Amino acid sequence: MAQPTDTSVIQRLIGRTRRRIRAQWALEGATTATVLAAALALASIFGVRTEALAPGTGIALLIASGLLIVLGAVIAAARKLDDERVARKIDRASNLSDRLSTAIAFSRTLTRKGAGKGDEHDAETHEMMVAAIKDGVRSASRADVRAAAPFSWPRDLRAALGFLLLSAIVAGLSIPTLDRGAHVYRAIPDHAPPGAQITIEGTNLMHGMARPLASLPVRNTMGTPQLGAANAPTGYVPGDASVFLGTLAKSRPVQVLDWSPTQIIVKIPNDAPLGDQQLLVFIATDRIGMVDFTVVDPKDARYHKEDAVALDPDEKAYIAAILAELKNVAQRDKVPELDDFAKKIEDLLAKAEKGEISKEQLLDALAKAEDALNKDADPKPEDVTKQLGDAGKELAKEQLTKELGEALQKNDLEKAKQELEKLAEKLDNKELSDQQKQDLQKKLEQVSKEMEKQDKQQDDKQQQQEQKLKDEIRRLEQQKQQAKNDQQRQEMERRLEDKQRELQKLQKDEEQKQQSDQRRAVKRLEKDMEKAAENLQKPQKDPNKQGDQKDQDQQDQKDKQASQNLKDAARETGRVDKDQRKQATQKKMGSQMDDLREAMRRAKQKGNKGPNDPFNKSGKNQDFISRARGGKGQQGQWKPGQQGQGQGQQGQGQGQNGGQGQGSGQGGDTWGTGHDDNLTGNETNKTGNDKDQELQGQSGDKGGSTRETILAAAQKGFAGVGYKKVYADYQRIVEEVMRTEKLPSSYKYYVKRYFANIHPNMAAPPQDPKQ
Amino acid sequence: MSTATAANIESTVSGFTTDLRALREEIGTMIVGQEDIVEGVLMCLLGGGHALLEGVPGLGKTMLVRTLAETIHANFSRIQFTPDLMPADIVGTNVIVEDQGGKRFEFSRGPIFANIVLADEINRATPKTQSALLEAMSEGSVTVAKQTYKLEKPFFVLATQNPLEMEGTYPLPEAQLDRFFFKLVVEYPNKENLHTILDRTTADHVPQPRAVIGKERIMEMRELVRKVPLARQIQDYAVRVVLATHPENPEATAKSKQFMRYGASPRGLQAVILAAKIRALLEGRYAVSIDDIRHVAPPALRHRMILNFEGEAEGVQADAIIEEILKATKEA
Repeated sequence: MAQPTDTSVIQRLIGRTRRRIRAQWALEGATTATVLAAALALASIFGVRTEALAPGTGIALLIASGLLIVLGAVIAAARKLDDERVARKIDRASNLSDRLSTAIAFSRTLTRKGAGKGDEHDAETHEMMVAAIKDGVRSASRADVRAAAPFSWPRDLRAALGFLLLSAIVAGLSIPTLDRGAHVYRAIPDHAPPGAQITIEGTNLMHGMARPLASLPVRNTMGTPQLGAANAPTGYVPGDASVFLGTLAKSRPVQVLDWSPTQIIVKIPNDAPLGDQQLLVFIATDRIGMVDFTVVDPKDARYHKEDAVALDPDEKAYIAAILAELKNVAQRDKVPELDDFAKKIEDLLAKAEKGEISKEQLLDALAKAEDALNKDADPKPEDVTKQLGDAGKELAKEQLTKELGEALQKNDLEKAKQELEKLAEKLDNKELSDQQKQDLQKKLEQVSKEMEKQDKQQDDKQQQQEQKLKDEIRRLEQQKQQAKNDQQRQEMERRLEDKQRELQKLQKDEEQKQQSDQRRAVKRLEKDMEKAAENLQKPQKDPNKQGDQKDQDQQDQKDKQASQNLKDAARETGRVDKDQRKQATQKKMGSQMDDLREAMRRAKQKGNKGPNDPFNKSGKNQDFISRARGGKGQQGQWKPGQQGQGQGQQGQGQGQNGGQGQGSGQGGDTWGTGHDDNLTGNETNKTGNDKDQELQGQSGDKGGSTRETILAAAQKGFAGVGYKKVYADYQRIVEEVMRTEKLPSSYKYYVKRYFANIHPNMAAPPQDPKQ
Repeated sequence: MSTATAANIESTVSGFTTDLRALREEIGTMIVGQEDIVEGVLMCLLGGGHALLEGVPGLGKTMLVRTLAETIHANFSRIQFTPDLMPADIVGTNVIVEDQGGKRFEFSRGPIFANIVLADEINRATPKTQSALLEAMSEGSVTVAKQTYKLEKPFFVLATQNPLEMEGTYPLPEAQLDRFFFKLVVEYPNKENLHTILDRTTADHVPQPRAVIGKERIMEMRELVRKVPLARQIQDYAVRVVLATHPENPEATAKSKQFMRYGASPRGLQAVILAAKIRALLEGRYAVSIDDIRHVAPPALRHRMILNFEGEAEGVQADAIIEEILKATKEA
């Protein structure tokens, strides 16, 4: 049997072919890996350019890209490549009809067989296999290795080149890097008064900052005011960043309340100087930016809110004068409620000055303050006075309570209170005899019953009045329904409405009376007197039983209770007194309260500058104020009257003598639409009908006449002594007229303003910000 | 071949190649063109199988078989299948013979008892008659009245079918078709071949085939064929090709999955391998190559692949599916 033939020739062919195949595979693998590597390089270049990756990381990725190509080649080339498979490639390419691959296969088979793995084939087959191997060896010379393993362009070559080109282009491009530095842009708002919170807007404000684990309190640097709990920062406050207010040359630190990547909230120091400055922001020692900022006066109306209320300087002065008067009266009459009210109004004015409050808010706050002041006021305090007076009349009949009674009669409740306290003290000190106690008891009982009776009478009277009104209303309703014509019906309706209003007022007054502090105090006073009387009442003694210490102690106890009752009565008397004083003062200051309300109502909103000033009112006011201070005014600013013009549209207007205006024209169908622009009037003109008459006055030593004095003051100022006297006379009259005449509030306001401005001791007026 | 040596083998193979080529050439003197058919028929003969020819009448099928029989100096018989043909007409029957001893039954052999049998238009006979032939083809013997009569080897049947006249015929069932080694489709000769045919057959001199080899040589050649070795990879290739004809197989191609009902049987794979070995020897090689497999797969598998209704409705040819399978099946 023939031995297996040496196939080394074929093996050599296979070796050569394998090398070529592996080389081709390596090229293919490297090309495919180049696509991935180029993509990776592209990504790393982009990442480094946009600072998403550190440069070191980028370089590492680039190196990895190169290694990826090598790895791809190695992996591709390292694939398993069987000899038989390679031989088959050669067979195919060389058209050898599988001679080489069959030779390799048979060679292996025969080699295994030679190794003693069993004879699977008979002799002929064996020989044929050997012959096949030989045939293969013979045909090796015809093998075309190049054709079997041609080198070709890798199929991913285009993609790889494309990616490489793209990477090269990207590498050459100047990609704008992201700006990660910290920047500040603006302060919001860009102006504020001291103590305000400001937001500085920016980006990347945490860049370059060390990050403490927790928020730290603000550093108390030199110059930074010490802060209380109310001003403690509420957000994150970095330890290595700061904000300064001022200029580059000179600045002071400000408190940082919160620091975030996009904004910094700071608080302007309360003592920051006014004016244009800058907020300088530092992270560690690097100044990252600065923004313009203006520290403004809180009272500067230019920076007030648009809807903030704006009071004229003389309005402000007028209101301040009213408030000062209210406070004086409050302190004098000991009415703390009025003082509180004045303080509330002062706070409102302060807010208005800072532009923190709108007109609606101002009026609303004023209304609330007034309501608080008038809360539980008695609608008819005179009834209370009468009731106490009647009680006093009864008490005056008794010697022990004579002083008390007289004080009540005179409505001197302060003294009444003291008398009650004295009585209580006497009881405590056991200065009253049994008889005196009994007399006191009887009198107190009597008075309390009398007061109770009066209350009942008043209630009955109230009910009768109400019933009467209701009956009247019913009757008027019937009459209205029975009215024969419209005129009657309207008349009935009008009367009916009047009665209904009257009933409502009656009921409202009764309701207010029930809630009034005074009435309740009087009721408690009445109860205290009753209890005192009960406690002073001596118990009935058993004639068969002797009095003992226990009874005495009991009596002492009762006396003490009676004393306490009297003290309570004294306290209630004090309350009545306080409330009466308050109401009296309020009534006294009613006119001032009206003025105050009117002044507030006349306040304008900041944006509304009001109508134009065609008559140079403000100029004239300034001139007037200047002369009032004793200075000279501007010539021509203040004249008694000016020539006015009036035009009628085919209307007829006749000016009166003494000249308010003159107009003339034919009578027409329509009324005139023109008007006299000069509302202050013209100077009086003389007419031809006047008759000059020379009057001789008596020379006296009493100085000039009133008229002369006034005129002189108008020209030269109000500092003269004569003027003071004239003013005092006029002021009394003005007060009387204002109280008695039914003038509208706005008219009263102007009159009072006028007299306030011509006051002889007028304080220096507020500075006009426009000067 | 009892003592084989390398030199012997080479000469043996060389002798095989020479004889086979001589046989082919000799047949070629009588049959114009149809080289594939001749080669196929010879492969069937040497493979120990039988051939099924399909073609229109007048293409020389009978001439081919007769020539083949004469070139191998074998007995030839022709059976014309008709619907009234009985099995006894094929295999023979017992007849009463009268002689000195009296009357006795004597088996009269039918036309099947020949080396080369041409079963013409086999699809015209009844299935019973067909089965009588097919049984003899598979068994190599005939049983009549419980008496078995061996058929002389080589026994080669070449059956024909006329694709034109299918009406009133009895198409061979698939199980019977599977017994044929090859199914060869005889194409109509081209113009040049027709001229040659005319020149040869209408002249005064009609060529006569001569014997090239004997029946014993055929048997030897058959034995040698089975000695041809086959590399494992190549055998694996053949197996994957046959498996791909089965639609349920993962290696089946798209057409196979779409149009096939049943794929080729293992008998078909045997035919492929044997035929590939013959072809290798024909080309003077000592081992089978993948090209041999590709070459012999169509005639060996086309009649063993059963199309589904869609395939039949679409008029899909098995050859197209086989072609797709051969292209799709990887060599390794």
